[in-house]
Amino acid sequence: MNLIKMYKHFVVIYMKGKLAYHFALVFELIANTIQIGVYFAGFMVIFHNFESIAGWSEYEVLFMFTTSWLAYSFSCFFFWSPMKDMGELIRSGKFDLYLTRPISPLMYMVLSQFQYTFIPRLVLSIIFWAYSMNKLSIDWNPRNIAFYSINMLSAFVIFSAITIFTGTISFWTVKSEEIVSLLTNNNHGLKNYTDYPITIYSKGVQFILIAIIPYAFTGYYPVASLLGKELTFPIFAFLSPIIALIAAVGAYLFWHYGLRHYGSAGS
Amino acid sequence: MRKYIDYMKIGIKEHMVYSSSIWATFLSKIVYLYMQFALWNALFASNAEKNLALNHEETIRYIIVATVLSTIMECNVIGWINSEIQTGNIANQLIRPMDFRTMIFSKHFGTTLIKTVLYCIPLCVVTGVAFHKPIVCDGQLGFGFVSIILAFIIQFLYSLIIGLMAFWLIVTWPLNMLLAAIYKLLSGSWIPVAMFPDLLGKINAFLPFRAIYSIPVTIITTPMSQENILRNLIVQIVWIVILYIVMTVTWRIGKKKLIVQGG
Repeated sequence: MNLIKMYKHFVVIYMKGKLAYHFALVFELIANTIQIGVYFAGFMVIFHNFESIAGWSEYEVLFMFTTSWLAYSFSCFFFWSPMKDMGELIRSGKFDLYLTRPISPLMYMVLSQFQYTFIPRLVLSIIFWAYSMNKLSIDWNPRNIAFYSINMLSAFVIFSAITIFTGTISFWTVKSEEIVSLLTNNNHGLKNYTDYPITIYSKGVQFILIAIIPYAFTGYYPVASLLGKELTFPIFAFLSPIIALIAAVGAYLFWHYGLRHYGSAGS
Repeated sequence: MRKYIDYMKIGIKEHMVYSSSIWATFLSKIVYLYMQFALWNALFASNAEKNLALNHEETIRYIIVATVLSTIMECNVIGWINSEIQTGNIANQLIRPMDFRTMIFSKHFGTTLIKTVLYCIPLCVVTGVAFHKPIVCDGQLGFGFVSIILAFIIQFLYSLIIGLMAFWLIVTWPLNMLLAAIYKLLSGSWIPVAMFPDLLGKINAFLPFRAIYSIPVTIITTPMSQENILRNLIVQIVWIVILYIVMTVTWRIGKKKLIVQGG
């Protein structure tokens, strides 16, 4: 309860700061909307030329990647900006300040920002998600709803864990922005691989997406199972919550290990 | 001349500071290239009987060359000018005994040179080794290089115009972000322009974006008549003239309206 109250205070302060330049804020929101809109436009252009990919129809692909985008947008809402700024915070020494706060630095960083720039992405994802769902005939019985919700939550956890993981690397190399963007950037990063069925990639890349950076579990496996697709290992469709748990624990431990390393190095 | 060469060197050095970021940038290009390659391959494999503007091989060649080209076409000019204005440094830059625009160009040119060495050539080698079939049309490669140089100039003029608008708008990066999205789609760096639906293709014919990627990449990868190549090169030259005029006007207005803050 206390945290929510604190978050509210932080958001109000953060937005007051941003509203000082309201022209830039409005422009930023419009720019974001168009940026995401263009991605969907490009998707439409591709499927204007082609009917399907790897046995998935246009709407099935759309449903899969908006599912994963929804989880991604929520995750980025909290974790993307702090982790992207980690490198800069450590370079400039500002991170030391965070260590003196009465709450944990990660908590402080997450609470003290409000990434309204992800709102357009969230809204557009929801629109296209609803649109694609409308075109598909998925049987929304209680079992499927429960399955889908649990997997959505797992996807949120997996995305957040990967983001925290990449941010934590900053404790060792001060210029980590590129590493963060290599894995999580949605224009040219590895995250982009989740937009299409992973069977289009070679076996080696599929292995990376399953076992090393488990993006395959944020959209592909759960949705494939929901749509009744043929999977090489049907059991994978039910692994997302377990993977999410492992990723979360891993990210937590890694973050604390990094934090200790930073403390001992001094600066 | 010496001073501009020094600025070129600054551009090179600034890019070389962090070796880990060079590696990450290079890797992200490979990640992106492979994704494009897998995506278009799968699309053609699933729709074998479809008759499209470009065939399977042409498309693959197109997206490979477009991605390689993107390593040198990306441009930081807008960001540089924005930060000079936000920090108030711009006042110091303008009283120097040299032309601000030439200075920015020298720095950009230096950055592009180092990018060619660090990313473009290695990526050419990687794709050459990984992709066994011929990628470029040998006979048109000369025209291709000319076209790339013209595209480089168009890209610079375009970025300079947006950057200079910060002289009175103070921040133009949101504007840049907006244009970058449109640019990504319309330039053809992502989806070949030939595959656009009619209406979009027609609108795009009147915009400069396709002159940056689509024209040079098509000249390099698709066999075409000499006449056609020349027509494309003329389109690029016309855009250079138009953008140069717009840039000069923006510069004149900008100098009058410049708001120096901070400092």
